[in-house]
Amino acid sequence: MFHGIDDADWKHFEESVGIVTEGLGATTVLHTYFGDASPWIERLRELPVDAVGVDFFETDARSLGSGWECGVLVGAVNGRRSNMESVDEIVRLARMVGESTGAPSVFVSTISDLELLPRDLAAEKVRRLGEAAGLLREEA
Amino acid sequence: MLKPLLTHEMGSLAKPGWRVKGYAGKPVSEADVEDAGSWGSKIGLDGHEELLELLGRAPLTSKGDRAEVARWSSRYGVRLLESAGLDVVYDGEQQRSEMYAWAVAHANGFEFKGTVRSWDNKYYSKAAVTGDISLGEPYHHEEFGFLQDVARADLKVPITGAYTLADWSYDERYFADTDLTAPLSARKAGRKDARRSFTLDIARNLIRPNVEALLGLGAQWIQIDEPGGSTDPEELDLFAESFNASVEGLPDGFFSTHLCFSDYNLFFPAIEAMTGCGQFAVGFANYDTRDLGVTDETRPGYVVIKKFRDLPYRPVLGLGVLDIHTDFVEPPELVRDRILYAVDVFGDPNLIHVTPDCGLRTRSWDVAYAKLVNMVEGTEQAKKELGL
Repeated sequence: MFHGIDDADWKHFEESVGIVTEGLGATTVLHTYFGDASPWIERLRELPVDAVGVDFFETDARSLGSGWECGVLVGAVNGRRSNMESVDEIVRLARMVGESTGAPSVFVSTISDLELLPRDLAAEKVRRLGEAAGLLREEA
Repeated sequence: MLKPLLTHEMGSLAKPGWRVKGYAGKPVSEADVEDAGSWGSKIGLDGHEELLELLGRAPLTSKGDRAEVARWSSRYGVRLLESAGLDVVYDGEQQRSEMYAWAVAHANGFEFKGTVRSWDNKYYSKAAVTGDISLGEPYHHEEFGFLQDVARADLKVPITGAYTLADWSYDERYFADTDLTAPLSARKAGRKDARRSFTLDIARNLIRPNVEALLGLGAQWIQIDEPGGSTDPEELDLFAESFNASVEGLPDGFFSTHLCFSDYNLFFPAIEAMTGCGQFAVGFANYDTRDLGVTDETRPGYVVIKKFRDLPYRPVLGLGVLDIHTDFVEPPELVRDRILYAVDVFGDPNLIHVTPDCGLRTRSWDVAYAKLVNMVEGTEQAKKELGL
């Protein structure tokens, strides 16, 4: 996603996602990260998955459109930076994305893997995610 | 530094088992001691029997003894490179821990955050900038002073550059960027400004005073290593600016940079501004064929050197002729042809130095030595061909 995808490749990409997810009977999320998802967001929303994940460090939270019929995974915690996102910042972002997209389900997560952080920092980020998710559930 | 086809190394050599275990205070095996003895004889290192005696007392409990093992490793590194016939040497960075942590540990304004993965199964201690950056203490001072007494050949000091130090650190001081509800354009502008301030603060307040300290000790050639240089194609201007900020206006020094394992086309035109750089040492062999010949077809790894030739100033090109990722020992004739191709492109052998692609630390000393000996032999063949 960081380098973009050629139009000619999209059909194969769409088919491959369908092959992977068809008949799984599990929640499926296609997560995009380390790049701006907004140029592809309309197409991503049409893919046969339950939710699309977005890296909001690189994607403007205002750029996702509205009327989503699939869920959105809010990549809210940066796996490449040691700065700690506050619980409040995570909640506000998830709330903003949920309201603007109208997505039927909202997941909160990390932007990427956490292997580029020392273990204790990664653990603290996960703990804050959990706390934010708890607050959002109470609101729902 | 305008000696035609001058030969030098690029920095690191592997640390031998006796160095690693001896310094760590662990037992040293008989095979390790034999290895130290055999290399000491091979490279003609006077007094190396003292090291064997020291290793015979391992595990070493005193800090002084362990430091002496590291100093012996330095002597071996220098003599190994001199014995291979290089014109300019260092010590294979035998006394250093790691190129990032060593610099940051001697700086103010950073806090180590923990261990993270760099590549494959390699990990490093990563720090965050948290305060004002300054030089804690010159961090190559003792090493360079020691090597001045040891080396017979001229010395070139490798140091880690500002851009790489910034790129490999976390930023907890300049811009947090955790409020992801803010407009992306504003956050990107903030990130860019922060990155520039961070990198230039390292250049001015850490690298430059360390370089000044080395110059004060008599260093004449300082090589600024920037393995992170091409990480972000959008920041190549900053990379060039940080190099200039590190050395601009400093008296009586020759300053070079080392780039490796990138698409070097990306560096243009950004490095047109890098006028403080007297030499670009660049790894090319990794992209080349092993066929003999001096045409574009036989030397595909070197075609990009025309861009270095066409820079608006006249830096020397440190021509990487040894692939450090393989045990293949380049025959002298292959080294010769790579040099002849480059001299033909540049039109002046004074503007070509001959080097490995990068530090040889991933190769055994046996392989590294064989490669370097052939590099020197290939250079001699090229000189003969050119009538030098």
